[in-house]
Amino acid sequence: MEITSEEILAVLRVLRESDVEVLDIRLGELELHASKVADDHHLNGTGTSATRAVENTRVGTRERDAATRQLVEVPENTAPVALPAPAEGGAELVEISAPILGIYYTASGPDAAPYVTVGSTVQDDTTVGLIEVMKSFSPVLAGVRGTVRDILAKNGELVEYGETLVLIEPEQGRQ
Amino acid sequence: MAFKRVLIANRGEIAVRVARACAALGVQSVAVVSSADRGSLVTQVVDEVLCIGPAPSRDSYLNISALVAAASYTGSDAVHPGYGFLAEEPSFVEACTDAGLTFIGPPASVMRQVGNKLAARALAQELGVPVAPGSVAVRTGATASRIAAEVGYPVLIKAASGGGGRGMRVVHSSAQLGPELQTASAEALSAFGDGTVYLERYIEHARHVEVQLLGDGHGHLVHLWDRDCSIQRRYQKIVEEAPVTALPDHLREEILSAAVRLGRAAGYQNAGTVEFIVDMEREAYYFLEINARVQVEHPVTEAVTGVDIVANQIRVASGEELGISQDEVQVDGHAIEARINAERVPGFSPSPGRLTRWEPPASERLRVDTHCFPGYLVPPYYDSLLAKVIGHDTDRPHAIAALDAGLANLVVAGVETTLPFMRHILGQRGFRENAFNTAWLPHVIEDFSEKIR
Repeated sequence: MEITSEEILAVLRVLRESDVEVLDIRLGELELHASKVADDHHLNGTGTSATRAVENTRVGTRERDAATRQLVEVPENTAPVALPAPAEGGAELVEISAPILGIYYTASGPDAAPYVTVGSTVQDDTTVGLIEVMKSFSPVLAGVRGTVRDILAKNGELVEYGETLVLIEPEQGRQ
Repeated sequence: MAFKRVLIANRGEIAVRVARACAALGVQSVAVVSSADRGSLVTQVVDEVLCIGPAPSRDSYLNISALVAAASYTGSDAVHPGYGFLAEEPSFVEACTDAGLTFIGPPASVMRQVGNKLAARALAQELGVPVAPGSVAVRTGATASRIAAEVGYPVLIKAASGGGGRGMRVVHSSAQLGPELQTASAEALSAFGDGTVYLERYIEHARHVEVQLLGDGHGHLVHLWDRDCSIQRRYQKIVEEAPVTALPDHLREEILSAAVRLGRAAGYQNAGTVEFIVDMEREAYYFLEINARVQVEHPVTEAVTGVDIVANQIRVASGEELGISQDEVQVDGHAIEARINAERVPGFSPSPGRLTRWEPPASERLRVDTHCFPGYLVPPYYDSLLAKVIGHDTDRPHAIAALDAGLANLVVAGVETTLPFMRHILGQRGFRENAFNTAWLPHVIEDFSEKIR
């Protein structure tokens, strides 16, 4: 069974956005165990989001094919996945990352008010910023309901693909 | 040097190679990486790194707007495309030019002319450079049958916009011609967006010979002698050497002169390669195509001529004069390159994974171009080249010995590689006696798979 690290990250994203807490996938020889709660892989809330992704994800395989096993065990070469980051008071923050490389804008123009500020409430389709690639502008959407807790990207600065732009504390009790 | 910063629009060993050339010229370099290459070696040897997109090439290394944006936003003056990806894409050249960036390669118009094989073939014919007996574009089965009957079977079907062996088919009889023509055309359309195909006589006892060109924007163009790349599997080169030693001198001279005439007529600038097929039985050579980029196998030419091709690409693109006269380019000894790929032989299926050990050999007679290091994860998204090991010595037998000793001292573990197979090739009598042709390698593969069974 061949599975790419990108596919694993896609599964993790689905898990994060769902109400499911623990997920076990078995595809032939390959097993993927992922959990949002602290089980035998304790979450201590330190480290980068990428290392948390590793701690919180256990990929096992009975296959003796070393190459396949090594492939799925290595998420650190991939973009930091926006897993929930712990916030003060125990709530977990969602990282909104840049979908493309470009210049980040926090407002629609030099004199316009910023799309969001710390404390703003956002819906899934709220624009939190713009990314410009060679005069072509694309909005960055929150993709989650909640409250803006931090804005990491600066107005007018270059952001890379996958760079964290905004941290949002998701609304609790979303069913 | 008019450039302050060069963006490297590629990955793997060639990205590292270009970064080193920039450093040697005192030019800053910018690496762009996909999310799968964030931990790659090039990020350690450049002045700035940007992640331009996710792992699939179409969203990162083939994403023209992201590459041009990254170059503009980092204040780069120029873009080096390496080989593969967008290296021979005229629209990328134009996108760079439109954004005020210098593309390190020939102008878009030249690239377009030499990139179409039928146009390049027509240019060769105008100049009296022989082309393999065959045709212009064939559109109907009836035309194809007539032309095939004229040139004689077997014939080769080739894609007008093709490269890397795709869209190429050998046809042995008229009964196969119709169906093969359709398949080749469909394959060419899906791979290159152009289903145009043409026919050429298939040369059974052939050597692949190519000439390295280097030109500037001031009308200077020289050749850096020739290479023999006849050890091929499905038209992919496996072992390359410089200079050519299997041909009589008069034939080599004719080929070198034809290459320079073609380059001059096309207004060629920067580094390029003119490829020929040599019919060993007829002692005749035929023009194949012009590759408008630096080639994977450029180190063998650098080894024997002492000319740094990549640094000169950057220099002449910045507007400098070439400053190398033809007489100054001399050949010193012989060099042979072995490509080490992360592949399982005999099927040559990719073998990505983590390198648990990587210890390249070192000696004065060796050069190793690589992006590998212990612990490197070979990603599954890109081509499988891990390293090029180049042996250089006074003559061909000594170069073989240097390369063989180098390969014996290369330690690699964690992924399967073509290393054992490369050593097997070097041990073959046919290779040592220089008595092979482009159809030789498949027999060696069979032989090797028997041995390892």
